[in-house]
Amino acid sequence: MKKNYYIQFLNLLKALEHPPKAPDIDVTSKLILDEVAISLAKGEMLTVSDVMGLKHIGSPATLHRKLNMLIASRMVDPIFQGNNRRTKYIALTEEGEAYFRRLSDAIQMTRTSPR
Amino acid sequence: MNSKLFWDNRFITFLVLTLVFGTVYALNNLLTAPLLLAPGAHLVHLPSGIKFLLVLVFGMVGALSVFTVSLVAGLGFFFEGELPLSLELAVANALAPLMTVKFFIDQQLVQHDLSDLRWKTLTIMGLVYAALNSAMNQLVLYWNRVIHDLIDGLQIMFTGDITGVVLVMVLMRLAIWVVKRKKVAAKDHHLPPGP
Repeated sequence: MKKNYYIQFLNLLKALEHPPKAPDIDVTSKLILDEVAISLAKGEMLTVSDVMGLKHIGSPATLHRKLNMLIASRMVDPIFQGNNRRTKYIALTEEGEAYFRRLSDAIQMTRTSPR
Repeated sequence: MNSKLFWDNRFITFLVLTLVFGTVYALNNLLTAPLLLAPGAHLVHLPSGIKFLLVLVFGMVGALSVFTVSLVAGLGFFFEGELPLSLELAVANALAPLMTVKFFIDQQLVQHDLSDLRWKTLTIMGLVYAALNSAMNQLVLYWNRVIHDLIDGLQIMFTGDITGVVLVMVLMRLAIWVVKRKKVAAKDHHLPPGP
């Protein structure tokens, strides 16, 4: 097959652009992630049971699966607090925090872009 | 010029690439003449970065352009009338990026259409290319007794190639960023005024 230089050029530009890595998560996981971040912004932490109770997002089985996906993609981390070993809290990882920072920066950039 | 002609016609591609690369090569050598610390070894060598990206995108056609410009520069300016040496250097200059790209494609570290090319892979490729390019060029010069200190020449040329590759990549990134900002600004300009 004849090489398509233009496509190769576009692929090179894409590589050079080096967009920040978007997390490989689906919409349901994103909704859970949003809930975790909103709670953290209020100074509270969701527990695993709290996440299981987010019925407006999905069934407990779905929520459990999606939460595991978020943990696997290193966006959140289940942690214990103090000596309480029975309750697991969901914290944002550094990657998760960076993700929300990027979104925030993007909004700031849109607001400040000249009209 | 019709851009379709440039992308589709191999001869036009070769012609344009050779002219552009030749101009950049001549300008760089003129502007950075004080940084020529050893024969064939600039401390900052932008054409090295361009050479690598040309061959990465245009493959054999890019390599042919590099070969042509190197041969003309060798015969006309650096080693006047020394055909064998100029030919050897031109071959080395064209082969180094071509071998680097071929190695990465053959090892399936990158697809032939560069669809999975990432910044990290590009940086590693740049490093491998800089090492290969400086080694091949300096070995040819050492073999022909143009230089007597191989290690010194290697060090300078490797530094020049690396800075060249990095600078070209950073400049291209900057250009992409500027173009994107302008596009966003132009889009915003068409929006109705906010409430």
